Amino acid sequence: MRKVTVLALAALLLMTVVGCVKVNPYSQMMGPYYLKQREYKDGVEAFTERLKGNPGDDSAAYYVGRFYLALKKPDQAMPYFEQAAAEDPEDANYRFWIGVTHWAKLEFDKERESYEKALAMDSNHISANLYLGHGFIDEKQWAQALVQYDKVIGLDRYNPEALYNRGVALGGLGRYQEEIAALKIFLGYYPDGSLAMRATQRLNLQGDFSYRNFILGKRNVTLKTMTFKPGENDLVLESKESLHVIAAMMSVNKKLDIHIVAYEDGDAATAKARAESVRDYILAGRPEFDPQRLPLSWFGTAEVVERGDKTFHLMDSVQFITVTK
Amino acid sequence: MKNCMHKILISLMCAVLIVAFAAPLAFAQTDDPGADPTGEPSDVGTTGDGIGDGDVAGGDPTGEGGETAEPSFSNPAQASKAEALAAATAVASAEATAEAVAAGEAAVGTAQSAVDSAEAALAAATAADDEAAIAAATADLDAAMAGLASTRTSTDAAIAAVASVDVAAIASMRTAGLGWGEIAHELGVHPSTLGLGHSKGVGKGGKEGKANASGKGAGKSAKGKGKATGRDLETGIAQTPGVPGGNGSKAVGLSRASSKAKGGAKGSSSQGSGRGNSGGGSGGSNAGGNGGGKGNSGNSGKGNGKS
Repeated sequence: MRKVTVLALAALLLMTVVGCVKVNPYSQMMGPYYLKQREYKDGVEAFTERLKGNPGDDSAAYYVGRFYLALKKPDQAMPYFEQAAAEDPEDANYRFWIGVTHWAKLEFDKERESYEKALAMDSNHISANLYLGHGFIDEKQWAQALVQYDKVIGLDRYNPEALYNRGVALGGLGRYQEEIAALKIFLGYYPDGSLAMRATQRLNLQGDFSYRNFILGKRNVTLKTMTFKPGENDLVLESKESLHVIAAMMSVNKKLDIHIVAYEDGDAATAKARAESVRDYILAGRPEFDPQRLPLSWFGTAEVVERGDKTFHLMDSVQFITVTK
Repeated sequence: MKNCMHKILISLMCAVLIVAFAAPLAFAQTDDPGADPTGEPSDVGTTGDGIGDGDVAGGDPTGEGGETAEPSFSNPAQASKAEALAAATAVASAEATAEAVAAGEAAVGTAQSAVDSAEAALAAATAADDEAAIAAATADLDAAMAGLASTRTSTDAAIAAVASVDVAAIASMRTAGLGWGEIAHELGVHPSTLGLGHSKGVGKGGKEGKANASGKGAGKSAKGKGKATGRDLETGIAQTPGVPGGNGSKAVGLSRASSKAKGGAKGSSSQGSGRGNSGGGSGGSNAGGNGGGKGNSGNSGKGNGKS
């Protein structure tokens, strides 16, 4: 074991000497530190000083570029990234950041060119693939975008921007069923925030209401649609998770009361039972709630929903409406 | 005979009255969503006592004797009207929230300047070794810091109130690096996100063509150029949707309650940030991604060692 360690150290030393591995402990320690702490101005100061002492330090130049770009100063960042790339022309990451800087300077053709160069050096560079895809989306080049996003997802299964934009690209190609499937995958992993609201909007426009945005209180909230076990009025697990969100919001905001409105086309009795089931699930977990905070309504009709210029009839659904006082 | 006719007439009138009273109820529970479009929504439903009955589904919590409570809305049109009213209220609130955020940001700027000045004064006093000046500068600094903290707390509280989220959760999101505008945007209390996924006329941001497909904070440099996507100038990594922080509160949103929610792209700082509901299985989906000296490559062994 000791022999192996000694040999490994010796090999590392040899490789360092011959330049196979560039070791710059200061940059590798302090660069990520300033980035993580968001101390960009301090980073610029420290690394600019370091660069003066060693103008050929590509790593130091790279970090100065990163700090300037983080400060939204692409004009200042660009010369440093270019310096780093000149020192190490085979570094895909340097090319990638030149691309990002071109984007910030609104130079979109050069941005794409830079990502393509980065990918020629490292075809598995995740962010270069991703941002190349974004550029295609911006130009409505859906098929090319789809290729990039599929590549990203192959490398990074839960990459949120690739998952969402894959749906956008499929929609652009008119492959609507695949768009729906892609958006549902995205929403399964990232079911809240503004992107989830947009994904839900797209989904609903395609006639899929497995997710819906509801105005709860004064807020737009994405929820999984209430689904019941086949032939029963018991909720499935994923629906219960949405009710946890409602209950938690009502727990924080004591003035938040919500109508539960159930629809079942041709069967008012089932609609009523389902409205009660939803309310009872919330109350079972929050016995301190006054049931009057969850008034019920039920109708033996389909729910009529307007989205965009379309009107949809949901045969069975549960709607949440904030009580206005 | 005359008496008999009189009785029949009275019976018929009673029957008509019964039908007249019973019709709306029967109507409400069966069909015809177009009925009574002028009806006002009711604020309070009489749903009986279901507290703590533990009967998750199928129970009858409607009160003594199994009496069926009446629906809060007598027809779908009433429900639709109530929904529109709630949306209009939220829109007005979102506009007020946006103003409060702008005012809060301005106030924080002012308070931060006061802190900076006080710090500079303290440094000068310390350098001069002037004890009286040090004491005065320290007092000024304490007051400035308190003012800054108070300003932050009041804006946190304003957003928390409209979002039905704890103040501490908002503070933790801010600590994680989000501005109030971003928090309001991601929590759906900002005019730009309030209208998403609703009928026309609810808030702004309903047009998908202008959506920023890369989520919060992105797209800053390309605004006004009609670009749909953004880039993260700080990390170069896909941004994690929603908000960080929140201490795992389910009031934040479905990502905190879902058993399937994920923590973001490889290398994103949000991994393991309290998302998901399965005690750790779903929060950090990509641990060991590209932040550990492997650059941004999906290759093992490639990359350049820069995070």
